[in-house]
Amino acid sequence: MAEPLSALGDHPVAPQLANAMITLNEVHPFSLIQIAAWPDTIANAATYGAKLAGSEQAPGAGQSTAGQRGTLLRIEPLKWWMISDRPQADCPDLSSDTGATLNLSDAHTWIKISGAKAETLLNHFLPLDLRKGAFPIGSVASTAFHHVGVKLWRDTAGYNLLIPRSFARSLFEHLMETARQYRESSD
Amino acid sequence: MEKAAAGGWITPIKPLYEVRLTGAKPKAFVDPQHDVTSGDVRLAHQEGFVSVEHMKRYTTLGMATDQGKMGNVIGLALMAEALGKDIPAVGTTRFRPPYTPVAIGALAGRNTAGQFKPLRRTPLHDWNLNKGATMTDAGLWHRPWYFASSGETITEAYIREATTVRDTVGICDVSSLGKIAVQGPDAAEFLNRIYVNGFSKLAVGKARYGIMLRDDGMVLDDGTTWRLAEDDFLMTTTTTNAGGVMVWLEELLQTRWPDLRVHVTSVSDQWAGVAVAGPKARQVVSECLEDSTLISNHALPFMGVTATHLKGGIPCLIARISFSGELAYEIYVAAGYGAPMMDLLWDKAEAAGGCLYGLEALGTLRIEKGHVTGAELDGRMTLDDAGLGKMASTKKPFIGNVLRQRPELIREDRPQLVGVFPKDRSQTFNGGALLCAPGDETGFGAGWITAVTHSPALGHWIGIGYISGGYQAWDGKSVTATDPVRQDDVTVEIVPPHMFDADGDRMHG
Repeated sequence: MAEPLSALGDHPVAPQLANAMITLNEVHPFSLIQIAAWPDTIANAATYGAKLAGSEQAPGAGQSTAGQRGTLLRIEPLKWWMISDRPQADCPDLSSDTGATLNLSDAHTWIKISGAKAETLLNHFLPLDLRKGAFPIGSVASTAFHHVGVKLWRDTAGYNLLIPRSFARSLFEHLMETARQYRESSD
Repeated sequence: MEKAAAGGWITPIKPLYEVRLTGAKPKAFVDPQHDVTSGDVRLAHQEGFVSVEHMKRYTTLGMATDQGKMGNVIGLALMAEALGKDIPAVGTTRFRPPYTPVAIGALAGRNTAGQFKPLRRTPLHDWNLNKGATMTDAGLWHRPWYFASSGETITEAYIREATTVRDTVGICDVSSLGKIAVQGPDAAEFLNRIYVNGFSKLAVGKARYGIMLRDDGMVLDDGTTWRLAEDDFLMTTTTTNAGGVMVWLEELLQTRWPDLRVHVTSVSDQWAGVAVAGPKARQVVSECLEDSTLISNHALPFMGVTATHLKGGIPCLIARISFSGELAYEIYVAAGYGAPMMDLLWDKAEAAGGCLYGLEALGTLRIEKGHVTGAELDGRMTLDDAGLGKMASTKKPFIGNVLRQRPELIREDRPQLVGVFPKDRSQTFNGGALLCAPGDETGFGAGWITAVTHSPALGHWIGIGYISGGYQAWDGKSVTATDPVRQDDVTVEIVPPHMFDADGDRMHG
């Protein structure tokens, strides 16, 4: 089968900016499954989502949990996203009595941002307090980047940004251009 | 030895909040942005505004862009003196962010030149450019406008493209259309309430064209909705209204019908979509499928939907629907497979003598057919104005049904959708021209033209638009298309809006 293409096209990433200050990496391909509950089935849907991600429990509002098969993000009161760097062709089934699942694996572009200046870079664009006390590891936020709705979460390696695919290259160019000022001096 | 005051000072430096001159009352500015003086602060106190928040609002001290960074402390000190209190006892006012000064450039400076607004690309963006597409703006999207070959002008290109679609086959990137997943046990009921026509009995594996109205009875948007499973629908919207419809659906579910078990999710970016249209469309598509029999006329009749695989195992959805009026299929694949899909389809289409076509040719094809777009459904028109009144169900309630039938909206002289031909077939007229009775080329006239094109199928210029009373009121009569800003008057005739293949035989082929 043909290989799926990234929305970023031929943008070089790591070679230009890989240094101790900032690293930008695209995760591609990946799988992203939405699990949606009804108001009276949140607990059951949460259990289902946790099992899907291989984690002990599902996260609460504004939180994520990392499991053996992926990370579960609580993005809305009735919705979780299960994201994994392992592509998955089929969308898992969920009884409509409990909720609904939806494959969104191609709808977004996943960028990992790490390094000493990662938080500074993100603060050029995101109106969030990203200091550890306000946005600790495991935090999730729905926010806006250049008026485009994006998802951000923090894990042990740094930050993760999910950008709608159609905007991904344009916003990635913003990140690249702004990140250049933090390139570590070669002197 | 003198005793030190708090803070260790023997002779503490006291703040000077105001310079006062004996026998003079100079104007002393406290807030230099809003020109608030010390006299204004004391006046506020005299007027009885003893709360710091009231003083702020009475004087506007601290309400400018500095949010009081320059004058608030002085104002509070003067107020404290007037009240006979210590400064801390007066309190502070609420100030707005940013707390520390931020350069305007930091807020908006990135929004310049090529980064003024984000560019929205379809999954086929690079593929289209590699094939010579000239792009145009469709909101934030770039969409192919036309594919000029060998130095063609835009006019030559779109006429060739439209002709090729009608005669052979063409492929058009339609990925920018809004797409919304509507899921849940009450999904069919939800669609039934928002669309004017029925959806609750739509069979799995079928699509239906639907129109939704606003509460006031005006048309909001149109599109096709596909039933993929019992509780799973894929709704398409116009490109322009994708976001607006999504917000509307969420509002309905969250505020009007929270009891419905329905989830809506934007999947506009999940899918790459193309239309393959023309007499050879079935041949081209079948040659790209793992199982070519799946789109025979019997297996996939008009408005049928199927899930299958393209060659190479690429999963896809195929709907036999047509905007061009030709035998046509819309094929959707996960966005990452958009370019591989196009490679497959173009390989077969090019071999069959087909073409790639853009928005200009797409417009030509739909104008010939009398199919409406946002140019006609502009927020002022009703179902009946657009000639679609028969779509409205009489068996179920739906949003907008009551108010669309108020007297003003069912008057016989309402503007109705029509086609427009130049009386002298060699002439042209502009979109935006007004339609007037001859000799009465004044004011807003009797109607207006919404879109124009050269029609390859008819061999002359045509237009689509609205005129009071519709075709019946103007049949056999001359009308003036007047456009005083751009050209001389043109004499035109009004015709029914479906100017080519009115019975729709070609798309049922």
